[in-house]
Amino acid sequence: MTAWTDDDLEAVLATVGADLDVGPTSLDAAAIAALVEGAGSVEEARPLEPAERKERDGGDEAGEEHSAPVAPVVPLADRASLRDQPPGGSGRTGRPGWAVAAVAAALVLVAGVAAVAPAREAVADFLGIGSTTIERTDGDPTESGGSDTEVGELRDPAASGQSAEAGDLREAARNVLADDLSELDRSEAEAMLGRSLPVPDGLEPVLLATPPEGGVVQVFADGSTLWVKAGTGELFTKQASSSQLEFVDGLGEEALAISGAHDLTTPGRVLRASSVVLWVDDDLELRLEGDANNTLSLEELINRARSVK
Amino acid sequence: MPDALQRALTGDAEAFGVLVAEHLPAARRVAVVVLGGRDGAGGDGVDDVVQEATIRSWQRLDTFRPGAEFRPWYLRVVANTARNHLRSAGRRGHLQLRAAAREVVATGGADEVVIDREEQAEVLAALNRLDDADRLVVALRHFEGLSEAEMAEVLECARGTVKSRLSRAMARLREELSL
Repeated sequence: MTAWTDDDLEAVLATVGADLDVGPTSLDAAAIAALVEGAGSVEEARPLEPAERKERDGGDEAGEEHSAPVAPVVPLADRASLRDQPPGGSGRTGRPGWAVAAVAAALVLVAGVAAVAPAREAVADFLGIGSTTIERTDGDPTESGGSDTEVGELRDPAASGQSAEAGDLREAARNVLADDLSELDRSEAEAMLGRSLPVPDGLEPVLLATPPEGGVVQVFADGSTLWVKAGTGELFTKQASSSQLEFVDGLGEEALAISGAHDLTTPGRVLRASSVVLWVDDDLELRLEGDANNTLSLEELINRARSVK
Repeated sequence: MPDALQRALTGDAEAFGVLVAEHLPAARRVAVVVLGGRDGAGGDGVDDVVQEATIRSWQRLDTFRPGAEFRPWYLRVVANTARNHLRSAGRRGHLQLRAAAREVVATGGADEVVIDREEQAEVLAALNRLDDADRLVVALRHFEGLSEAEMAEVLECARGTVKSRLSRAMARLREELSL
């Protein structure tokens, strides 16, 4: 068995890709041109009725390009005749077919050579979800990048937890999140998201606000928070060790969980964060974070995340 | 090929042919990776997927965003078409990705060449044990050298999601390699 380093694996993957058996093809630029001309132009395309689309796609509805009608696939045996069509024979204009084919052959060769080159970017030791990049650190993450106070203010979760225990949930929310939260009412929050507010089953937020980083933050009575943001864009970085990270199945399109205290870096600050579940669903990014004292287990957080509607 | 792209967008089939021909090797690899082999999806095979995807791309050029990259857009159509073929065939591709038989040009000693081929076979076997979604993510990155932004376009997801999907797929590949 081989002991694979990242570099070794990437290098071998590149050769696997380059050597992959994709079979021979008789398609070239001229044949492609003839193929698409025979299939009809954009203007001639007629959107399929749902029933037609279902029959064609086997029930699949994914991808907008699926709404295009599908021209008959040309059997391999007929492709030579496509290439043999006279240049311009179907209203085509321009260079003779053989010249286009020669250019295409050269391009295919160049593309093939380019594909042999390994991916230029190494797989960095990070991953991410939505607008959050997660940097994996060795050892205790709270002893590494989290101590950098130049970027912003690093807060002690225990302090905010004490505030929560004192019953000042709004103050706790400010401590956990940001000093410059702007409070919202529900209609403002929903207008910001462009949809109804997703909330965990059986919970109602005691505070709705928007931080400078955007999105809507809901604060619940137990001190947990749910941040919801529409759209994408890289905003946040979380530093956590690999042992704190886990993928969560069956939650949205993609979900990650971080167990225990870790640091969150935003464009303007560094914050100490608690256990959190992050997921992307229906063009929304959601981040459910436990209270500052981590009284909610990660499993409870994940179950709560799954109940969000 | 910005010129070919511009002309293709005006309905020039010849320019479209040149444009697609440039990306044909990548398109065929993507189709093979999703299908799980070059003859996947009930015998339709990579040729039919690429042809159908090419026709769809032509017919949907009006949805192409000006200024966008053609390659990820086209590869997205290829990947979606391949998935549809799999579903229509009523089964997942359980064929095997294979390395093309070709003459090995030795750049080092004979032992080195043998080891390289063994490693390649090992990785290929591990890839074959992944599902098509994981295979596709790995292939887009390591076969095609796509950037995160390009992968996001192909996979129709956020860039951050690309990172997690790739990380997860690579972790699974490593798991398979460790078996």
